[in-house]
Amino acid sequence: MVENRFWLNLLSHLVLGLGVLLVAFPIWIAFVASTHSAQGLVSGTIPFWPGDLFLENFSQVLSGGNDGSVGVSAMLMLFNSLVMALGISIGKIVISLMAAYAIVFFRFPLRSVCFWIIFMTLMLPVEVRIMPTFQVVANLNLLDSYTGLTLPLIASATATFLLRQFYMTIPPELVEAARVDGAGPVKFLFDILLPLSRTNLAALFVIMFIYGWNQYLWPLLVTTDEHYYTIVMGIQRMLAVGDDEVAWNIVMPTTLLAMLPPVGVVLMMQRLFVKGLVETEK
Amino acid sequence: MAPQLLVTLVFFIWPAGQAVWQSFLVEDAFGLSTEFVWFENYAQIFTDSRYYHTLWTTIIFSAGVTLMSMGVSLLLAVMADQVVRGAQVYKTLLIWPYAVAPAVAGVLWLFMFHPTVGVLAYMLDTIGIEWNHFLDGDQALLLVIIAAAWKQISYNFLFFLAGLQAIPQSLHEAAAIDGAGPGRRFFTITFPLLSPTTFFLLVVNVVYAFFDTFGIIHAVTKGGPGDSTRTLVYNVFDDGFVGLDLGGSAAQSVVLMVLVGLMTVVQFRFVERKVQY
Amino acid sequence: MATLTLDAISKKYPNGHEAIKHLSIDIADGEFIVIVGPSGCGKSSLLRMLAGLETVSSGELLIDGNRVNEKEPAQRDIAMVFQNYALYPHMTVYDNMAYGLKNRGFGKQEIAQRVERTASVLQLDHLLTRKPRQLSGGQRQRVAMGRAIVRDPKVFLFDEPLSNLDAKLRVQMRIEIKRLQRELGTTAVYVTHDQIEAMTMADRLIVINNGAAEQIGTPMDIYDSPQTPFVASFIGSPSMNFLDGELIGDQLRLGSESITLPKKHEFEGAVKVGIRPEHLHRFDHDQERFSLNLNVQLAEPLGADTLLHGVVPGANGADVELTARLRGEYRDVSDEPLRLGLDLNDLHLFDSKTDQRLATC
Repeated sequence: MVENRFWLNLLSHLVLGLGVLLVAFPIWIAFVASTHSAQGLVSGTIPFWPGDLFLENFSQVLSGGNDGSVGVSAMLMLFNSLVMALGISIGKIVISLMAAYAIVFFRFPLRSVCFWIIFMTLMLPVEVRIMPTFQVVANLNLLDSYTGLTLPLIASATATFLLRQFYMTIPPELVEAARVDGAGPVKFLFDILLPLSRTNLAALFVIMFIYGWNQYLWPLLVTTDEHYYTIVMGIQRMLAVGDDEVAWNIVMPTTLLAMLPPVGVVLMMQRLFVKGLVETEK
Repeated sequence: MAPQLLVTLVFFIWPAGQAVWQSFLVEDAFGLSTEFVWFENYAQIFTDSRYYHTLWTTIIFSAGVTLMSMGVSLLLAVMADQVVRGAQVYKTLLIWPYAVAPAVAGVLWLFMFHPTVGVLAYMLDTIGIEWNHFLDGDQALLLVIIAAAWKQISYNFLFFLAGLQAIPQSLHEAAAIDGAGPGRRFFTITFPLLSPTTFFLLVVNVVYAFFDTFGIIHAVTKGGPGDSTRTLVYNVFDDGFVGLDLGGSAAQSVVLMVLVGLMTVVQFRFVERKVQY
Repeated sequence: MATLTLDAISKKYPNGHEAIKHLSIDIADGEFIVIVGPSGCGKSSLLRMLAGLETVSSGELLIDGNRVNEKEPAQRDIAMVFQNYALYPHMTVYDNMAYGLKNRGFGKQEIAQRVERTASVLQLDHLLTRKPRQLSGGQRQRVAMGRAIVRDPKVFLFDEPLSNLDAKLRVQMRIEIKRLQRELGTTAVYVTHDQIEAMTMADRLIVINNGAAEQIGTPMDIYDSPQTPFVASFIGSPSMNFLDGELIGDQLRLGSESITLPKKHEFEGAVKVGIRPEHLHRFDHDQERFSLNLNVQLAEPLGADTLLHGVVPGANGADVELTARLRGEYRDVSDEPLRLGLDLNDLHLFDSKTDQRLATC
């Protein structure tokens, strides 16, 4: 800033501190709740400081043997979430990579038609076309399977579009230099394009991983067998009991567990993720 | 190329086509008979006062979420852009809710506002406000708005901060030399230059509030109490999967698709324009 | 090392634009050819056709006598240096140079030998492990050169390789490229819009305008007897001056004056009279048969020379702009016009209608 005013600076830190508190407050409460017994939570006085049942609650959640759970352990649900998130993110990236490559670097008939078909899918979030998509998946006998969980969400106009944007920034002369150097389309993809888009791909991976992990409605619909429950929808299942019977001391640890992997991925790959998110979406 | 097209065709185009087709049909609850009824389903939607109520709820909800989360984010971003030290730390501490699933965000806030066990509900009680979103529709709507806005703060913050940092320092300095104080500089220099980012976020947030918040509403209020938190997307789901009114649900899907289409066009017209300069 | 033959090469784009029109030239082994012309004249299209990056619409392209029209760039055994260098940003200098060799299936040892030899020629030895973004503009330029040289191709193609460098470096690299090409003896085709590069580097020049070769010849040939006003004004700096005149027998009417020319032309009628600024000098009463009165408006001292910009009275009394390049300093402060003289053998005459140089007889 132009003038280095002490009070202005102090105010900024104050506001930011409040912001951080606002953002973190729910987590603190969730954490506190995970360290008390069910009775301790409903008995009227709401605790503000952690209790001593942290380990017990978490081990109960992870093993799944308790009254509040949905019949499977959080371990299995975490695993299912991981399969779904990885399936969606990797699948999306591989498919979009090829699609964007074809769209940008090859001239073929109906090229723009293909592009528009893919582009249209951008306009349709799962939630909007949920009923018919469900019927298609049901007709294909994919309910209660990992394929059914991931495949319908894999085609991603977003990723294709972002990669296309990036590919279009690659100078045509680089492509020509590679041609003169004797690199064919496949060699060009693997020797030049992939190494160049490493950061973009990593950022895309983070975004898509979170997208996949956080899916809610879709797994809710296509899974009736609890062995395919993902953790995010599992929480909803835990809440879907009579209001007084909700075992908050079990739900809250599960919630924390459900947040941990995606939050971890974001924080670990923060730099790449922020760069990818802000630079590619704008 | 081919795989993308295949997946797109099977899971996107086919369902979309089916939605359009089904929106012209009436089916009884057991799927035993089907009748082609042209635009009857659409006529029904647009004469149904409940649908208009849902639309209105959606608009209030979206406006609330957008204003609340963008306001907070802008404030935080401006502050983070000001501080000399620690901006990176604040960034780290503020971005992680991006990764929280909407449904999970909903559950967190549900717990805090829970009439019997919630911390915040308890606090409100001590200052004389009776909080029970299971009974009070307005409170329920406010709750889902807060939860949805909370989750979106990090996204908006990141974009606002990037937008702020893209404004050349020399402009601030020039304005300062021209005699503008910090507040004046913000409204005459920063805010106008930030308008592309603001517009972009406006569209993104409205789309988010319209469609991506299904998880919050479903997990927290299930559209209730009454219809007070029933949004358009929730209505599609509820009419289709709970009410088993396939034709009506499909017709609503088609209406929504058109709506998303319009918003996407607006958004990408904007993106394309940005790309050019 | 190879000869290169262009036989009536044309390039027509689908939108109907004709970028190159029936261009023919035989390029000898080891020759340095510069293609020069204003931007958009089609010179880049021509080079890209030689490289195989663009298809040839009609005509035949031969390298060492073999038709290569349909061959892929990689199969033509050419190497190209791009304007923005087109270095692979994620590869080290070494890998950038080795990439083409790897793709051609050379052994590791051979590649290492060649890269190291080339690197030492270009003084890149100490930079081999760096990435392009860690290099200066001049160094990148050298790597781009190295990538071409290391392959030992039949033909070098240069696409305005110096235009991204600053003036000093450009002069230095210009000399270096020329010297390297001489040493290696590799045929080279070099595209530029810079007439100084064209003059200094070329064995022969192709001056292109609107897709057609206006003139092909050695630099001095083209400087001394440009075939068209376009070539005349494009080659030489500052540009040639043009005055309108009329030729009747051996009499040239220029404004109000009539001059007897030393050589005869088989032409009578309107002509464009070209005068190079450097051929004008201070009027000397004893020798001159011709003089111009320049109203000096601006003097630009260059050190050894001075450029004078001003106007001379033309036909119909209208002023015509004219530039003169005089030796030494110009210190005349009077309002009087400056009298300039000229050796009449240095006049260039062009037919006003056909824009062709007038032949003497």
